[in-house]
Amino acid sequence: MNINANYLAVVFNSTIRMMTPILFVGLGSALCNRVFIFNIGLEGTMLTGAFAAIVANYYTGSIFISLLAAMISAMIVSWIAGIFMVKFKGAMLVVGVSINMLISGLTTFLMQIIFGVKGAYVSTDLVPLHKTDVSMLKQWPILQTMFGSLTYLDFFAFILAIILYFFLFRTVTGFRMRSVGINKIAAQSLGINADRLQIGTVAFSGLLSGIGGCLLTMGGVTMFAQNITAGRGYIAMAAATLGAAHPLGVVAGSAFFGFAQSMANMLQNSSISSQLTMALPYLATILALAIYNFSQIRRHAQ
Amino acid sequence: MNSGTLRKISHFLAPISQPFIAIFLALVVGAIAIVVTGESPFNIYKIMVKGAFGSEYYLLTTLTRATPIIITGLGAAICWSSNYMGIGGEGQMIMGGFLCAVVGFHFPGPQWLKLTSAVILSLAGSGLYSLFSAWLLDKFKMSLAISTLMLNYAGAYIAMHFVQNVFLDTTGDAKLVQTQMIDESIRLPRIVEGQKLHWGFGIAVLLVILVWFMMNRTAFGYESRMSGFNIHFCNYGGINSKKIMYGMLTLSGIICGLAGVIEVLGVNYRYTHNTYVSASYAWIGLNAALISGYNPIGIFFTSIILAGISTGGAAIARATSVPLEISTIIQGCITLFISARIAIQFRRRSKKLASSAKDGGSSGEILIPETKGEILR
Repeated sequence: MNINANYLAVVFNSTIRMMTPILFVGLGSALCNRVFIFNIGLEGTMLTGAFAAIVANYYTGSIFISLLAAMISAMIVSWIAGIFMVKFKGAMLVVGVSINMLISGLTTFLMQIIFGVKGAYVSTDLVPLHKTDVSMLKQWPILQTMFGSLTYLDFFAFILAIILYFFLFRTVTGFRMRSVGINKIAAQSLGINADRLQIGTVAFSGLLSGIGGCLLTMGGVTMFAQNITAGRGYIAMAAATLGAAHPLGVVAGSAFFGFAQSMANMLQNSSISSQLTMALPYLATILALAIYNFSQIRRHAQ
Repeated sequence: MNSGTLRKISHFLAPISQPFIAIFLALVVGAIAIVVTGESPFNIYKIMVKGAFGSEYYLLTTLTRATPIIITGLGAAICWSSNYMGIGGEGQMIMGGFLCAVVGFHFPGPQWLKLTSAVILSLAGSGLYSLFSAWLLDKFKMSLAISTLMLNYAGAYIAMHFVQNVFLDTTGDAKLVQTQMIDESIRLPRIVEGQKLHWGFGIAVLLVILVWFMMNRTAFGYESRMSGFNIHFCNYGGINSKKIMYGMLTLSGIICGLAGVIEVLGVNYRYTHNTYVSASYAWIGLNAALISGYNPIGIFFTSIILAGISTGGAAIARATSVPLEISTIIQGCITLFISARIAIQFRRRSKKLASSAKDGGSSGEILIPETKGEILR
């Protein structure tokens, strides 16, 4: 393995492609954390989005409708989860676990009915997300490698993080959301409809996870496999925790996991066992959280 | 009938009726899914019940499938009831099963020594695996939910690595990533000759009784339930909540590991990659624990019902065009609808609190549900 500028550019490019699905879901998770909701169901809503995108694409051949279907279906599932969590006061973990199980079964069920296949559905007829044009970077091949074969959604993920930062810290709704997260009863006494705000946030986080799911199935290769998210929703929750539920922090958190994932993919071509490299992102999550939490605890102690 | 008796009856029926309402609603959702496939729900459900409990063969198959669900359910119940919401049952079960299969085949010495060391080492391994996430919670305040989830995935891949590269069985079907079979003399005997059901089911029944006894009749069980209600109160009352956390999570890991051990000794006789994950034993076990409100005897019966839904689903998939996953949909829905039941208990508790405050707080129950979500942060 020879490490040069080109190799680093490839790693950079693959890190971005790996991190953006996690970033969308992570931003949703961060918003949930801000209103004091621990939304473990994001794994399931991401899967919903991934599946809805493929189905809509299969029937219409339009990537725009595909994205829309992913967003709406994931939002509906998340909205239902939000109602169970907030209105029916179901324990958040219980609702999340059952939503994940339900969606995992439902997507596999529908995959067999719609596509008539078990395991995975791959088709070349599907229209993937548009790739950005990098031909103007012709003079700088390194930059071309760095930003090549990315979709518009990949770039939008970063813009969205900045938008959400302003939304959360510069708008009235953002202020209200944070106040609900700090003390729900106090916020309610000020006339804020905390329940509606919480359910709305959970539904919106579902919408974001739908985009993440769509990016997963329609970004690089257009395919859907049983439980294709493989814990990315959980990793996104960890990224949100690592980023202290701050939108720009989440960018850093998901970049870390994107890097771990891309290193895992890169190392598969080397002599290191591919099963061990597949375990790498999950172990890196634990290590990163431990280091982050440890520094937080030390800072509080001082 | 006066209102007093009516209230007594409804008080008695309330906790039992809610699971049935949830199961009914889940079956309605399942029926909608069946209609989508173009089949008749009544017909399908008839096949399902027949395929789960219809004959001696089907019933015993269901009980075999229920065994790991009961055990992982008990494992989940003991940590969830003390408010440590670990969801690492799957990873712990993989650790138990993998270590048992490997040690049971490769440990030197006579078969009885292989068996003993396999059981001891695999239970120790799965206990340590759970202890690790307890340590992360204690030392780094890491969310138990996230650490256990990550360990599930990491454990599956690490076990796969060792099976693929070190302990692979090359004699059989080359496609499957699996270890060699353990010797016949150390396998669990069958309860009924010629049927699948093995004595692991008997171990599960024994474990139900033991866990019930521990939770309801020992000081440790009492203290852990108390710390589940209110950890600050417990610390104030002189209970070492840290000891409880380590103890409960390790015990829960050992029990979930036992589920893997019994699957190896009683059903598969080897560890095959992905079998526990695709059957989602640990998740169904967790659902059984949640549905029955962490009551061991409730877990026993709920697990059999949930296992019946799985085996019934398999029967449907064999006989009709309805996919196997119909059972996962129904199981997920039951738990989702059950989660609303927790809300009703919650309200009743707060009412009790309010009334006991009015009486001058003489009631012995001190339940402050507001602290429930705290550990997640």
